[in-house]
Amino acid sequence: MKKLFKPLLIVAITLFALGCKDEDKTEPKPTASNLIKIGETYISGANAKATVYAEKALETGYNELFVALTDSTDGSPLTKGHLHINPMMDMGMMKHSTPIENTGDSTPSNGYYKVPVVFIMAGNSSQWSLGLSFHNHKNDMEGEGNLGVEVINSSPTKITNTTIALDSNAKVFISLITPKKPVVGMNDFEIVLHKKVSMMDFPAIENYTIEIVPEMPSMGHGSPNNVNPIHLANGHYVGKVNFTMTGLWKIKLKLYKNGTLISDDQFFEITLH
Amino acid sequence: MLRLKIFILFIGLFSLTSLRGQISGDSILKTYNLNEVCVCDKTTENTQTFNFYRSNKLASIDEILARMQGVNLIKRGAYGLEPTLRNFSSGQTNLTIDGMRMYGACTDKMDPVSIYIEPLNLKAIQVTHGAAGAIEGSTIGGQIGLKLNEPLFNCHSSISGQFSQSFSSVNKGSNSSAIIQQSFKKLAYRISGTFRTASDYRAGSKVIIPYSGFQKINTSASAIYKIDSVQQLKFDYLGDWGKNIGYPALPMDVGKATANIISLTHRTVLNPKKLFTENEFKVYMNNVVHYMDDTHRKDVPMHMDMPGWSRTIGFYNNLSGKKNLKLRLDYHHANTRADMTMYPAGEPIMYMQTLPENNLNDIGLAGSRMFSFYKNQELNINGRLDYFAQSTAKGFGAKQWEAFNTDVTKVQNKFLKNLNIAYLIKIIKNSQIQVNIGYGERIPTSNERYGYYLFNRQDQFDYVGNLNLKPENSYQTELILKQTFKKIEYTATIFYSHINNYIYSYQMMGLSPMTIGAFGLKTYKNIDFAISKGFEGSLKIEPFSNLNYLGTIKYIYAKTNKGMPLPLIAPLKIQQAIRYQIKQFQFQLEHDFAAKQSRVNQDYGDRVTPHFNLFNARASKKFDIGKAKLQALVSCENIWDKTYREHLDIGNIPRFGRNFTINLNYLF
Repeated sequence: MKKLFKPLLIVAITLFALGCKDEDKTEPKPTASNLIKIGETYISGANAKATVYAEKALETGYNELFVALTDSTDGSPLTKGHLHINPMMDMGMMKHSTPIENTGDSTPSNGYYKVPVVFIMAGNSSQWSLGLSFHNHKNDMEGEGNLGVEVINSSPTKITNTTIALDSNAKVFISLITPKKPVVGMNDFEIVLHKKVSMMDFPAIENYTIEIVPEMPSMGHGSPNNVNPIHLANGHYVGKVNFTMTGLWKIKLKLYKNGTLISDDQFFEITLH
Repeated sequence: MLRLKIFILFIGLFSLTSLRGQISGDSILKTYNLNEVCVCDKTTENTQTFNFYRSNKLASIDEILARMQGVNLIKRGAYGLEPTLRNFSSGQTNLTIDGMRMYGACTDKMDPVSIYIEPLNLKAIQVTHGAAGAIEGSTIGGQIGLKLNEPLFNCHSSISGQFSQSFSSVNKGSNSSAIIQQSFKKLAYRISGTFRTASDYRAGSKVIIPYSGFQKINTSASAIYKIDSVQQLKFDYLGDWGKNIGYPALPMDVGKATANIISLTHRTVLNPKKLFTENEFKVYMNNVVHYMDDTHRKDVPMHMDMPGWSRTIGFYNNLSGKKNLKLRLDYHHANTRADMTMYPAGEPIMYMQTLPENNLNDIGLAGSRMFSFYKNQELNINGRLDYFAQSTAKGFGAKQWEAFNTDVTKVQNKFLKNLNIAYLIKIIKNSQIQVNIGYGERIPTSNERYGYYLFNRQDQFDYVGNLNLKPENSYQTELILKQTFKKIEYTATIFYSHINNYIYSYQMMGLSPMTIGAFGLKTYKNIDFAISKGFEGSLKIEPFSNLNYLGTIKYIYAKTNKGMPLPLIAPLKIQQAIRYQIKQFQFQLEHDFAAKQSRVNQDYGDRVTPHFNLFNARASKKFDIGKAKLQALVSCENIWDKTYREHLDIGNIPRFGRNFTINLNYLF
């Protein structure tokens, strides 16, 4: 039965996606064809099955999880309900979570609940797990499922962290979101910042000012007319970065809080081919 | 008649100077006469210049240009000097080959178009200043028109030609060349070839200048077919292959430079009683590929490839008649691009287009007419209207420009207007006065518009273009006085140009350069205006029929509206020569003086250039071997082995030290 449902599900999702018109055209619609399946788990308490997709294998840094929920009895898509994901790293001696952006959406978009997550370290599927709790509005049932996932190291790394003495020794994680496919010329630049408050609490940092300094390390030059990222919401900072040629670029980050430079040694490396 | 005799005598004397060092603006005799022949005295132009070059086959085009009045050369290496007209540089002047437009493929201006023409292929050089030169293209500085030799129709179909060989000590240089030509009843052809090779040259005090050697091969083939009594079809091909051309003043050399120039010309003689007596239609294309190379350099921070491409196709139709009547319609399309690829150790390749692929379309209409009245007065009017469209091609190069929030694919189009009026009056028998008034315009060059981090060796800044530059326009006036006496002749010229929207560079503060070691980033902007003024003079004395003296003087003063001296302005120069002829022998002594140039533009990296005095000596003899002729020449340039440089030499590189040259020409 499951095997039969899956294609049906895909068809349904596709039809739903096609039926949706007021889409943001700049971002390609997540469809089964450009997503890969990470894993699936039953949320028995809610009579639901969750299938987790992503654009690529999960890696350290910012990832977008696309979760499709279906009725575990008849396989029909569930379009009403609340999904909450609780990622957990089990290191044996201790456990910790990681920054996650549970949106609290009551309906999936294009058939998926999109939940961005920032993995702060790599680990195998017995170490990293996603706790998926779902409140199914169809039957008003709640339950939890658990899915072990493997997280590989992003290369070049898309996450960097630093302990900032000038911000009460806060451990700050900076994750690169865009450019995903950097090109010569102008690129959107987006990063997200989180702070580790406790092993389980990684709130977004919304009160920093950020300056970016792109540089080609082998030549020592930069690029003109970059737009420093400014805070939009949930710790996301959006700006523009310019690349004047292909090759290896280093985007240096300067973090300011209340006008004081608190960190200037973090950077991302981006390679243009 | 006397004047003609003087000309012929001087042309004979020119044979003394056939091979010279890269010493710009040195021989006055040549300067004077070449201009005389090419510009003023149209009737004797062809024969005289032809003879001139027959006896000067082995001088390079740079050497010849350096002798022309109003011409100064910007030097970057031992080869490929950029001609300037009264210090208007290549973007402000037009350089044409048989009326064809052509653009260098090198963003560093290593390949001015003149380098593709060997003197043995050169029939004439026409130098015209200001808008008077705006026949083949809009210009503010004037035009250098290179006319190529054509096959000649002889009464009999014998083969004729010449071989030449020379050696010079300063760079172990060898120049070999040959011409073969033959004519039949309806067909005549001419084939030539030149091979030049030179090692690194020696400056004064035996200092070797590294990376200054070069090799090149140049060939040309030309054929004329007579369709009927009034129609001719002419085919021309010119190929030039340079290899390992050193540019000591620049951080890179040229590994390979190839140029191909092809044209087909149709000529018709029209009814001589009508207004227009002749029509010439030409289609042409040329192609330059230019690979800069740093593999021979030491201490290169990172290996780099910098190829450049330039392709031009075009046509013109030229109707001409008596009284300098001309009506010309032309079109050309040019496509240029330059790349840079760098190879950092252990890292991904870095690639950019230093000149994004860009296109230029130009259609123009030009005309000229001479009116004479009262027997002693002439009015020459010429004008030209151009319509230009410039843009970069979509793609990588255009994407790069997003970094400057600039859409360079947007087409820039402009009408350009040029007009020149020349009035000449013969006051008394031996005196004449000429007044020129002109207006000219020029569009920004592709470098000035689209260049992307182009390194300028002179000020050590990277340059990016400015899409929104306005065309430069210039109001010019010139006054020429000429008097001829029995044994003395002189001309004196004063000129003035007021250039509006002068394209000037300024630093973009806060932006970093790309090139390692560069001081910063600059771009161009239109400043209100700049002015340029100066004088030229020449004096010719012939006390006896076998003794001649010639002296010339030139000076230019140029500044911006804020009083800042313009960059690369040559100082006061005096050049003089004395020649003595006895039977088949000729002897010549030359003296060049350049004053100290302390009016410099430091922002541009100009530096004060000390004055110098330079002395050269030459001797030659002719031999008759049956019908053939052999000509032998020895010369010594820079006799005192002075270390010197001209103000327009980029990078503080001294010029040739003492140089001995032997030259043999065999004509059959």
